[in-house]
Amino acid sequence: MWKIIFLLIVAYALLYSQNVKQKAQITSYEVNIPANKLTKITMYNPDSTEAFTLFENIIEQKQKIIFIVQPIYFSERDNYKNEIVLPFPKTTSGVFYIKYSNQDTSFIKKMIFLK
Amino acid sequence: MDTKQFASWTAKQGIELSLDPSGSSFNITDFALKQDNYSSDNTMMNCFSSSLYGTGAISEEMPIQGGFNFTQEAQNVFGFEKNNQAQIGSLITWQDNSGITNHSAIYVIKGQDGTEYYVGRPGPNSDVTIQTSNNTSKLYPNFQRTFLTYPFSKPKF
Repeated sequence: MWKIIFLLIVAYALLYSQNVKQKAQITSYEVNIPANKLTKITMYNPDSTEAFTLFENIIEQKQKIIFIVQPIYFSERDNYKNEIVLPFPKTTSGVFYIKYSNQDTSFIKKMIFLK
Repeated sequence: MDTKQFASWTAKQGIELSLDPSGSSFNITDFALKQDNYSSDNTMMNCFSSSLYGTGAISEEMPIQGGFNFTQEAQNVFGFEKNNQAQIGSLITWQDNSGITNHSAIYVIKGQDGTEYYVGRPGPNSDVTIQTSNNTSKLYPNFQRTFLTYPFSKPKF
C-alpha cells in the first residue's frame, strides 16, 4: 500500500516538474567582493556614451553585491538581508560591458539589457 | 546529420514530416538552425538569449537582463518584423494579459497531428532543448503569441 502511495507521489512530482513554468527574466546580477582587497566594478557601453563606476572600495569581510533591474528594484530589494543591494544602472536597452577587477583577478562580461 | 539520418531520427521520435500546401516535400536541412555554438555554460542564459542567438540577431549567446517588454524590444532594438503566422526559424513569444513577455523560443516545425516544436532554453540557467505546443499551452494558457522574423543577414550585436 505504502509503495503504491510512494509511487503515486513520485509520478505526480515528475508530472508536475514537467509543467512548472520558469520565470523568463533574469532580473539581478550578483558579484562577490573579497575581504580586504580593493575591488572595482565598472559598467560601460560599447560607444562609451555611458560609463559608471558602480563600486570601488575595500571591505573587511567578503560580501555579495546584488544589482536588481529597475522595474522591480523597489519591490525586490527588501528580499535581500545580507547583501549590498543596488539598482541595476541600465535604463536604456542595448549592449553593455561589466568590468570587474581587484589585485588578483580581472574580467569583462558582455551583456544585454532589455526593458 | 544528413537527410537520411534526419528521416531515421524523426521516425524513431514518432514525428511525421508534413508536406507543404503544394503537396511536395521540402528538405528540412535547408532550414536547420546552427546550434553548436549555443553557450555550454548556461549560467545567466535564458530563453531570450537562446532565441536571439538562434535567429541570428546576436553573434553569440550572452546574458540578458530584464526583458519584460521583450516582444516589443525585439522589434525596437534588433529590427525584428512581426508576422501573422509562424515560419520555420521564427522567433515566437508568449505574452500574458498585462503585456509582459513570459517566454520565447524558435519555431521549428508542426507535426501532422498539429503539435508544434520549438527550440530554446525553457528558462534561465537551462540547457537548450526542444519544447512542444502540448507543453507550452499548459504553461501559457490563453497567452498572446507573437511571431517575429529577423530580416537581416548579420547579427545586430
